[in-house]
Amino acid sequence: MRVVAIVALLAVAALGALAYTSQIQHGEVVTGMRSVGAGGAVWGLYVVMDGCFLGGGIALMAIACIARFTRDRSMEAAARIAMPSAITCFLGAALCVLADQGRPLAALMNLSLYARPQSPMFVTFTSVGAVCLFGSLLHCVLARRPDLAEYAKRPSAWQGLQRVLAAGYQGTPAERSRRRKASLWMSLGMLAALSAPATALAILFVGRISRSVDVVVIEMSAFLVISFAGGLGILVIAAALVRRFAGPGAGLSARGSARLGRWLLVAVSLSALLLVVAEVASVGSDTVAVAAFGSALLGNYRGMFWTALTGLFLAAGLLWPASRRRRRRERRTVLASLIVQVSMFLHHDWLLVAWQTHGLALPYGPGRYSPTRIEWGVAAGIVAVCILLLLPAVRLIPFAPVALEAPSIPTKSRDLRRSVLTFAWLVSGLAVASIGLLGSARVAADASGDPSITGSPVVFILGLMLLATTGAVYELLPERK
Amino acid sequence: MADLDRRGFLAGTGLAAGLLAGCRPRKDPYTPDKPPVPLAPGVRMGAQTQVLSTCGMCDVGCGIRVRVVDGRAVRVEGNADSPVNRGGLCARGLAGLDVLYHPDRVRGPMRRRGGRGENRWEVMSWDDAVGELAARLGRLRAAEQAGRLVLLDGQWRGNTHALLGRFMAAFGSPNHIGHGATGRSAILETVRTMTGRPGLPRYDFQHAGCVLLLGTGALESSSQAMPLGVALAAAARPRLYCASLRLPRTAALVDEWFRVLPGRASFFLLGLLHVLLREQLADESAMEKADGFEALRAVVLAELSPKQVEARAGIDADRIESLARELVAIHPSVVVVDEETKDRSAVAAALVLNAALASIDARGGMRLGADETAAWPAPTLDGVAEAAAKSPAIDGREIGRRDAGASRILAVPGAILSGKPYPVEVVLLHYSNPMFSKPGGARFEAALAKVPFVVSFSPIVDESVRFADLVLPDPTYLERWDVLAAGQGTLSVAQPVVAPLENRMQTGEVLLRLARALGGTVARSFPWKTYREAVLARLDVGGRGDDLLDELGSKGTCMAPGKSDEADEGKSFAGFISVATATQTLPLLEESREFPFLLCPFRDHSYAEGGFRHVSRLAELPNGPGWSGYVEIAPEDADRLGIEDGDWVAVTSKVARVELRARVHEQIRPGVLGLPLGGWGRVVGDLAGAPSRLLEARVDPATGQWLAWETRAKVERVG
Amino acid sequence: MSGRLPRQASRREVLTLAATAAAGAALKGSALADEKSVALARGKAPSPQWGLAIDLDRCSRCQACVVACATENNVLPLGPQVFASTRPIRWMDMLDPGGRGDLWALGRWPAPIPCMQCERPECVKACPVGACYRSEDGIVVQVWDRCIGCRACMIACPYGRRYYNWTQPAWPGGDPSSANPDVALRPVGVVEKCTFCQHRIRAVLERARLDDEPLDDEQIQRLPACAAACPSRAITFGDLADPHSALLALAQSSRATRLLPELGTHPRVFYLRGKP
Repeated sequence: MRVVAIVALLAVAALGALAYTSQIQHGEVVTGMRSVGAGGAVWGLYVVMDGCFLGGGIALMAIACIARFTRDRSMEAAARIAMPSAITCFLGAALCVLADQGRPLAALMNLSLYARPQSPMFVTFTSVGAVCLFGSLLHCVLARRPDLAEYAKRPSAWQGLQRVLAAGYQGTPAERSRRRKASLWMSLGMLAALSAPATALAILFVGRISRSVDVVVIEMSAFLVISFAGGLGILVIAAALVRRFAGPGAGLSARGSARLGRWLLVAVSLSALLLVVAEVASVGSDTVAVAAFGSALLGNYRGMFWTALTGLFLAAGLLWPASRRRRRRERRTVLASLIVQVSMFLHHDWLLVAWQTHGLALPYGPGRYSPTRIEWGVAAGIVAVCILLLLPAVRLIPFAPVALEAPSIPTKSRDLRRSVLTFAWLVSGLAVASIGLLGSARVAADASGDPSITGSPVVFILGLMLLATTGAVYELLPERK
Repeated sequence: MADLDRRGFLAGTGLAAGLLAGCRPRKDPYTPDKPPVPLAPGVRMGAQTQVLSTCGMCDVGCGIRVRVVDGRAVRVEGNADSPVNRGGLCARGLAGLDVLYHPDRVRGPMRRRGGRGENRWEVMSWDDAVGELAARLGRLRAAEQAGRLVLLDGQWRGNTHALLGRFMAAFGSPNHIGHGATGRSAILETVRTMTGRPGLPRYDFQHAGCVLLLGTGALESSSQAMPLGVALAAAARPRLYCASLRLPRTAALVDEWFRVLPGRASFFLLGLLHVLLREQLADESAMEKADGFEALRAVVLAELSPKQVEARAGIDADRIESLARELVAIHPSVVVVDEETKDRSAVAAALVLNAALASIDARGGMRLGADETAAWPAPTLDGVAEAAAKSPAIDGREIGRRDAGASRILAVPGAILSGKPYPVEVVLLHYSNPMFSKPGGARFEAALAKVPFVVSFSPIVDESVRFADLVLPDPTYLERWDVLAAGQGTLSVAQPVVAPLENRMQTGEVLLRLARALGGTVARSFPWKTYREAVLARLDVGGRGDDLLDELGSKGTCMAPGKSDEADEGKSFAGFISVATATQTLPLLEESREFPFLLCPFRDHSYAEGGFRHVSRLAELPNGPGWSGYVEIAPEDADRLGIEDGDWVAVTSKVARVELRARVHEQIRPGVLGLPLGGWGRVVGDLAGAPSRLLEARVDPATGQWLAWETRAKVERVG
Repeated sequence: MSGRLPRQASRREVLTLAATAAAGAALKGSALADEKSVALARGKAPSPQWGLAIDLDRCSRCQACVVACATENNVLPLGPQVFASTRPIRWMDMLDPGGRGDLWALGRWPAPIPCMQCERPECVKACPVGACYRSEDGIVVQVWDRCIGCRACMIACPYGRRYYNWTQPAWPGGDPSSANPDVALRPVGVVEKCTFCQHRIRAVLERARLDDEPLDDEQIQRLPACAAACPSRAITFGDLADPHSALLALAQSSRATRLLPELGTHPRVFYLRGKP
């Protein structure tokens, strides 16, 4: 069964690669996207998938951080599943964006050398690189150190890597205390950092749809909440799969599962509400908003929009009875989660595409966009790759807690050296990040607009990485013997 | 672990330092040397020149400047010194390089190998090619069958046209048949009959106060489009009215659209004349002595009052009244007919109305033609040639008439197929692709299939080449030398802008060689060694040839010898010979249940001479034909038939069915379908779906003029 | 025209001028005054500040400007196969309002529409790699080899005047002979747009500098390819910072209007309509 699944995923990934080579060879004319003034949409399936992946990933990481922050036992298992899922979502987002670029290699190079924070894509690029991928990975590894240390004791193919990643964890009280502090601060920092890509993503998707502040704010909120619901949905599905394939101990407890279900219900209901409110607010606002939202109600995009909205209501309906009881209603919750994924996708698709084809400020005439097989192929391939990459994580960073730890007693730390070094690390990280950010922002640059320090974005990313590793420094600095 | 961390930090710093070292200042945006992305291989900077020449995409003869870099023509622009276009240039002229560098160029003279249409050719030398043609024509002449040579000529004036006419006269064939019957003949014939003056009228738009266009040619691709466009640059532009079935998207400056019923423009104009005559506002001096004036006056005053023409013309009587007064009040006013006006009675009525408004050969009015250049001495004729002058031409025109207006090209397929009055042995196609461009194109195909020997002069592979047995390619207009009359008494030079791209020879030169090869009186009629010599002889420069050529070379344009600096005075209008044509009407238009729509063919702004549908830039213009063509349909009709803008529809007439895209817009009368000609499709030879195939080739038996408003059709959505 | 050539204006200088320019009282009643154009206080902005005026009462919609621009800037036609799947790139387009008169302040007929060269360009804000920036003389420059093809600028441009190379441009018959060597060819995957014929501007400025002669407004009124080709002289180019330029007079007249002024982009393209 597992082998069949893996082979199928590999086949899909291969097809995706083939589709992508066709795109490279002929140019993006093989997609359904066309120039905005020429009757099409310039951003289509790839960016919608990017939005779904990134939004979902941010949500997953946020849930993991909240779980660690609150140190809720029942949610710890959720965090354990959420983190690797978030990482693969971020990877998927990065791949989707890269697939969308006209010159992907130049994109990597030029973004690293010349990216500008005035553009929302700067935030998504740097944060996906530094915060989402690197930071999440680091956070995840550090969180799993006890389990990795246990695993490292058993011989396996991954043993060497596990030992390195465990980084000599002994389980001493001092270590546990440090771990606790570090994970607290890292979770907080991560949550704060995630707000940047979340906002940037919302601006990217919603920024063009209206000039009225109220419509924009409401729709942005709807966007974020529905992305959050999507992320929760991914978590529910992943937890169910883990429970199915890795045994009952590996998944969520009944309490955790019920809690997730309740969160999902709240998110879904809130999204539906915000969506309706946004639609109402758009009536009588500027022409672009009226066109975009109007096309959702009665126009070309009504199928998409109403399906999404109905899906949200349906999901809420499925989740409501489950929430009233404390029993596990896994099947219904999973079904609701699947529906939420579809709704999220349709909503993002409508949000991105409708105004481009039907909501332009100048009378270009209605456009049309529908993704071609190449686009579907590449998107499917990326999804397959992400799932494939998730599989080794099961071996490497185990879902099930291997080592049960006694709760750590907070001890007063007298390790001045550690504190000073950590603080210095933090400050240097801030400094490097600031230099990078200011450089990227073209401060002290000439009027033609290149950064005064070429490569400032990379410097900024490095600074962010330094900040992210502060917790690691605190935790991993060897004790003075 | 500390080591690892410290090492990592240092590595990171090192990387940052490396990047810092690599920073470089931003280039000044106006770097004059290398562009940031290199051009295609083989494209270099090099020596640059500007060559002055004349555009050949239509009849007007705008002056152009061609920028040549490293022996390649890279840009066509207007010549500021030319009085015709004053530095501007229209879309078609600007796309001239697409014609020059067309991928389907004919490489050199070639003879057909295999069957006709198989597109297999054998390359020859010019000596062989001319020799072969000369041999064939010599045989014809020897057998006293010189009349069996037919020349279909898309040009109607110019030195090559004159040379061809001279050749046909000397050779002994009356069959020099022009294309004009589908457009130009209406004007040429009517003006000649009524005034005795040759050529197409021109208009002094610069000084006009009110301009009434008949038909939309001046808004699209007729020879009046550029003069009108240039006149709009003036601070006070004329008031512009248009009386037509439809308005194109280039009609933004039309102040009012008069939606005349098809074929009824003459009623509209005579209604205006009625008001002028009745109120004694008309200038009758030019008409008084004309044959038929009293009858005209009586009919107009009695039967053609605005109230009486209201229903027939489709224009409100009150508006006719007020317009007539306007035309007098805002003078000078002029009624414009151009080669797109296919309606003889409308041309006649327009002439009479212009005379009544005192606008003929007056400032701000219509300028009738004058002989543009001096002629060569008469050709030497022998018995064969003299007999030809008295024998009938196959198109049934008046015996003895050779002018361009007399041709009746739509009679040619019938004549060839029936073999009456005599079979045709050789057909020459010069600027002529009738299978594509003429109504009844399928019959032309059938007719040419019957002709034993077909010769094409086309520079680009088109249907005329596909049907030919021998191809003697003319270079494109950017590779030829010539001197043209460009209006307002000026001459304009056309020069090769680049070295010849292929082994093509100017048709004028080919004719001279052919004449020499034929010998006898034919050769004697062409005493010039080169085409240039012939042209200079025609200009009658009286020894000042070098001065003239110098001036032409430096400015591209100059005054013709014998003309003054004043704009084209010519003769001034003495009066009509006859005005009888003005009250003749066309047969009543039939209604038809089966074919409820009237087809309105037109040449849109992308149409260039000879079709030139091969030119990508013109096919892909905004509102252009695209590669699939289109048909214009009024919103009411579209709604009724369930057709939306952009849908594929099938247009069916009695003779063909063609699929086109629908273009729904308001500037067309209900019950009319607008059909653009030209600019369609790319595959040479595949004409079954060509829009022109829809048109029926019905002619007015008296004049041989194509009845343009007679084809009816139906339309339905497909797919 | 004062004949001064562009000099590097420092950031502070530009900002000071922007503040000064808010006193637009002298420009009351014109399109410029209503929108308090940045840095255009008469005579105080560093010359030149390029702009374009299109007179819709002279424009016959003949589309010569579309073809002139394409041939000057190596914008290639598509050919029948590619045309079936995408529209040609048109730096100068002819926008036909069709039935959407409510969105169009310029009447029922098509109108030529180049890049607006906004003073506050949305595309510059959106570009993640700085491939797009605004030069001191007012032209929004697109650097093709920096462009990564993300199309954020196309999303941002409210006028839709940017075009993406969805496919590799191909010369008809593969023959690049008629390529204008002054303008680079853009590969597949980059965005391009009208540049006000920046290369022609440069050539004229260079010549003026070498001849040590001031620039004449007459020389530059028909400088871009579109303006040069228009038979009706409906398109006028010039320096808005030159108090004697024809363009400034046109831009200040009550006939002048700009597209979508409520967006605050301050385009440099003025449309002239109606009686003065």
